[in-house]
Amino acid sequence: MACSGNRVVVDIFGREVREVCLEEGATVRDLIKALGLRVSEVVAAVNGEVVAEDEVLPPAARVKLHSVVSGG
Amino acid sequence: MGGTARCFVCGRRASVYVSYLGEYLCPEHFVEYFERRVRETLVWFRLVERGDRVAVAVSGGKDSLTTLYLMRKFSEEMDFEVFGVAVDEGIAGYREYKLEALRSLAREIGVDVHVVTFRELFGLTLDEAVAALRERGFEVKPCTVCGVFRRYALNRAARELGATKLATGHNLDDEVQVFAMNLIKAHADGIVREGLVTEPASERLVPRIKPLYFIPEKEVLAYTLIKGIHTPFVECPYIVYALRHPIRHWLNEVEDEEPGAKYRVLAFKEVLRNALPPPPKEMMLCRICGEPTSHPVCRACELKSYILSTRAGRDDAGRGGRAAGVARLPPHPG
Repeated sequence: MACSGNRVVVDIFGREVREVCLEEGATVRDLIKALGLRVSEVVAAVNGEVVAEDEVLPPAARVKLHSVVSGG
Repeated sequence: MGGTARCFVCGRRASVYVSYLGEYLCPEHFVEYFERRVRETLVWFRLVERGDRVAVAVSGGKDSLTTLYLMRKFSEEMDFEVFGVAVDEGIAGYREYKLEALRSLAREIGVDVHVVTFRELFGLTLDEAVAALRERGFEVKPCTVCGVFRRYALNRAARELGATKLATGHNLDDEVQVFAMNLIKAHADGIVREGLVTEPASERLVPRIKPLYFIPEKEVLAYTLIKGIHTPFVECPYIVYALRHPIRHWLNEVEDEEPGAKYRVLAFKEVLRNALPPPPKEMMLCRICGEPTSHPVCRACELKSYILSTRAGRDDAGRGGRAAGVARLPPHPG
C-alpha cells in the first residue's frame, strides 16, 4: 500500500514486525499511540538507540518497542 | 522542525523523558540520575549498614537484575557483602530463560547465586500446583500460591545462607499496584506491612529492603537497555490469572494522563501506613515446618496441604477410588 508520509518498520516486543505509515514529523509517541499501546508501558529504540517519546521519527526508521510490563 | 529531544543537563540527544519532572535526559545523565536515587535510598533510609550480608532475591527479570547489579556496584564503597538467591518455581518455558540471564550477569559482575526450587521445598512444581488448582476452579489463584511459596523460600534460603538483609526488586509500580490491590480487598494489614523496609517480627525472618522503591518500572527498563543488562522478554504464563494484570494497565493509563500520579499514590500510601494501627507483632512457629507465622500452621504449609490433597484425590480417582478426605481449607486473605 502506498504511503505518502513516513513508513517505519516496527518490531513490537519481539512478537511481530509491522510496517506503519505515519505523517511526516510524527514522533515515537504518535507511533505508540497509533499501535494502541500506552506510552508508560513502552520503551522505544530507533535505529538501535533508546530514545525519548518526543523524538521525531527519521524517514524509514527501524523501531524496536520494548515492553515495560513483564512479570518477574 | 527540531526532531530531536535534548538532555536538559548537557544538550545531547535525549534517551529518556522523565514525565513527572518534565525533563529529558541523555543516556549518561539518565544513568547518573537513576543510580544516584537508588544510592540515596540506601543511604538516606539506612537500608544497608557496614558489614551487612545482603541476599538479593533474583528472578532474572529486569528489576531484580538491576537490583543485583547496583547492590554489587555499591557494595565496596558502602562495605557490605552481596549474593543472589533465586527460586526456580518450575514454570516450563519461562523460568529457565530468566535463570540463564541471571547466571550470565552474575558471572559478569562476580556474584554468587544460590538457586532453591519449589520441588525440593514443597515436593511439587508450580506447573503441578496449577494443575491441581485448576481442578478446584481456581478458588485459589496461581499467583497466591507462587507468592506465598516464594516468600517462604527466599526468607528460608537467605536466613540459612547467613543474610542480614533480603533485597527485592520491587519498584514504584509494584508498590502502587499492591497498594491498589490491598485497597480493593480492604486488606489494611497488607497496606501497613508493604513499606520500603519490612521490620522483622521474628529473628527467623530476614529484614526485607526495596532499593528500587522510588523508581518507576519504565525507568528500570530504560536503564537495563542503556546499560546492556540482558533480560529475555518472556512473560509468566500465569499472569493472566492475576488481579494485578488489569490494575497495572489502569494505573499506567492514569499515569499517561496525569504524570506523577504514581508518586502521589505512593505518598498517600505512606500517610495511610502511619495512620493505621501496626499489625500484630507476635509470631509463633509453624507446627508443621517450624517457620515463623502468625497462625498455628503457616500459609505455605496450609496451601501445600490443600494442593497435595487435590492431587491425592485425583490419584485415588485414577485407581478407581473416590476423592475422599480431600482437605478444603478455607484460604485466608493475602
